[in-house]
Amino acid sequence: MTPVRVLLAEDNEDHRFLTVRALSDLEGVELEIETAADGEEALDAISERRPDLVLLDIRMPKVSGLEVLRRLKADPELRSIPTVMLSSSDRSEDITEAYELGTSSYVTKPATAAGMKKGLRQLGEYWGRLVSLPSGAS
Amino acid sequence: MQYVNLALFAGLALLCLSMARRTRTEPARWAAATFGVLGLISLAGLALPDEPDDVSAVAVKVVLLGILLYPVALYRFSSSFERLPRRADVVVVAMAAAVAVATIAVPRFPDDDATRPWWFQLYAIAFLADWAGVGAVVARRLWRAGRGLPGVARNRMRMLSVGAAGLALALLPGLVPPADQPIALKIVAMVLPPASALLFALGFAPPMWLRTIWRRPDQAALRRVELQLIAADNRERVLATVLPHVAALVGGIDASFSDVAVASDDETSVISIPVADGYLVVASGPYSPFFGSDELEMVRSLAAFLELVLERTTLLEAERVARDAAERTSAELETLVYGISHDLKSPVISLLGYLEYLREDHGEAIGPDGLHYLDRMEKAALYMQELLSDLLELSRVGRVAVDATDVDLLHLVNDVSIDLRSKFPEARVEAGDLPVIHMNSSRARQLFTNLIENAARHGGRTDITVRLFSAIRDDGSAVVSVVDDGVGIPQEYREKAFGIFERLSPRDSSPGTGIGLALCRKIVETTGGEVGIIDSPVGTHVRIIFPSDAVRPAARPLIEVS
Repeated sequence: MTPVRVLLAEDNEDHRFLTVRALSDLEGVELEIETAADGEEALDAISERRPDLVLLDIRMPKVSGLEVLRRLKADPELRSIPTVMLSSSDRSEDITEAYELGTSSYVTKPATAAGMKKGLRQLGEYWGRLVSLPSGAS
Repeated sequence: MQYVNLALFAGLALLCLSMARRTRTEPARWAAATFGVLGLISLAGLALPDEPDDVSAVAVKVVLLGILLYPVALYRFSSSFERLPRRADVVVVAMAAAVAVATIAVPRFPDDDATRPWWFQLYAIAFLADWAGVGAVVARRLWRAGRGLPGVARNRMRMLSVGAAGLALALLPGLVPPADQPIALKIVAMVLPPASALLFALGFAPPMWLRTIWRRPDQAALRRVELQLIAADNRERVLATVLPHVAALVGGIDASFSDVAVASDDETSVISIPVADGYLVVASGPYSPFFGSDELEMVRSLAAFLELVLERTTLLEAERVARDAAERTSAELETLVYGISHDLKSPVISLLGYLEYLREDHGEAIGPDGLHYLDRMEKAALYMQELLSDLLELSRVGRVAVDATDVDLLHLVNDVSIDLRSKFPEARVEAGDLPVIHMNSSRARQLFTNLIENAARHGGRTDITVRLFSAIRDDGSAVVSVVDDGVGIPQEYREKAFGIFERLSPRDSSPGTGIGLALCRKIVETTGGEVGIIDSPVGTHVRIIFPSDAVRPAARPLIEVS
């Protein structure tokens, strides 16, 4: 089974750990997780390795998650990669902006396995494709 | 006729003499000299005997010599306002002296009805040329100098100018022997002197009614300036409005506002009028001090008004500075609250995450007591998270302007009550006729969620009923009421309930952060409305007033939505 390659961009070390843990706790999927500590690093990783899924913290120093999202969506090569925004509040106007920029989903922090599952389910057909293709190949 | 002239010129002479005594200025002294001469001549002319003899021939010459003083004095009057080249003075005096010498030198004058010899004709021409020439020069000078001046001063100078011109022409008929003069010329010669005297009198001392008419345009302008001054709200604008007008009133030299008084010098006459914390310094044109007393009076009344206006702008400015400072402080505080709440969120999130995994991975190892502590820790962390969210929201309502749309409150309340059903299964929400309000939809949602949730949380009974209804008032504003049948809030706590962190019961006995109502008030205030708790027979009655410009009325029958 080919794992789903995920890029996680999160500047807070604890949040990064907790999110990785939530992703690892997901049942029935095999993920290969790469992490980036800020937006710039994330942009480099995305253009170099083109992950299957990108998780972006909204607030990061230097290049924010929203800015990374904006650049992803402006790039015809990368715009089809599904994105999940990580937000510290579910009322934030940042979430509205993220949807306007074209994100596929968002997850409120701290991301537990349940919360992550809910967020990934929102990806709809994207997620179906991500998890069904590898298993179909096996 | 001679007596009329005598009366007029004697009157004019007295008028000028009293003016000279009163004002003690150079122009006034020369005016007194000019018309004193004319008055004396009129008197002397009366005393001349009708039958010519040797004595009268000498007397005539003396009178003529006196007459020659008039052009000299009139010229000095007109040149006393400005510094003019001395040469012109010398020319005028020399001309008068030459004619005076001729007067003494010529033989006895021919009788009125005798034919005039050539030397007499030549003498008469020289005499009248001096008289009329100087008169014309003075008339022209006064007319031109009056051009740039405001109403009263200009008209006074024009009176003098025309008077001088009239008098200059008055003696010219004398070139023709009396016997040969046509009747029209005789009439002109008869009318010109008294008419000129009248014009001079009007120029030197215009009566009140004439001043009032001449003043009218300037006074209308003054009213306009006063209106502009009332509208001006800062010192710079006030001065920019008033100074050009003051300058125009005194002949267009300069008007300024200065910290210190300024004195006149040789070149310009300056008056400094104390106004508020400084002086209104007015440098006038050369003719204004003599002719512009009316305008100076207007300047003084304007200065008094200016003092009031400046005091007002000083107060306004002080108030604005204080308000700006308060607003800045409040904005800084909100930014600070936002920053702190946001940064505090991160550790709370970490805490909640680790708590979750601690329970999951090591729950069995720490035993039931340990798990209970974990629960308490998690509750505390969740409460803190909620608190931070509310604080963030509160600071955002004041800081961030958001889009407004037409929000149908009935639909909104319906949605809110469905959301709350799981939290408060026994509570009922009834909504009556609710308006459509132009505001941000997510804030409207927050407002009614908080109000209904508050009623359900703090009402003291699980089967609480919350009723919402509204009325449109005559001024177009909408009153929306949220009424419950719970325990109510005592009068003295009602206003306190809208403060931040004001809780009416201990934290553990009732949930909530204590920010909810403060947030509600802020949301309503951003629409320009107000919210408060008013008297109610049972429970709590929260009343919101939305201003008319936010109201889009929509009438519907009472329905139960939950």
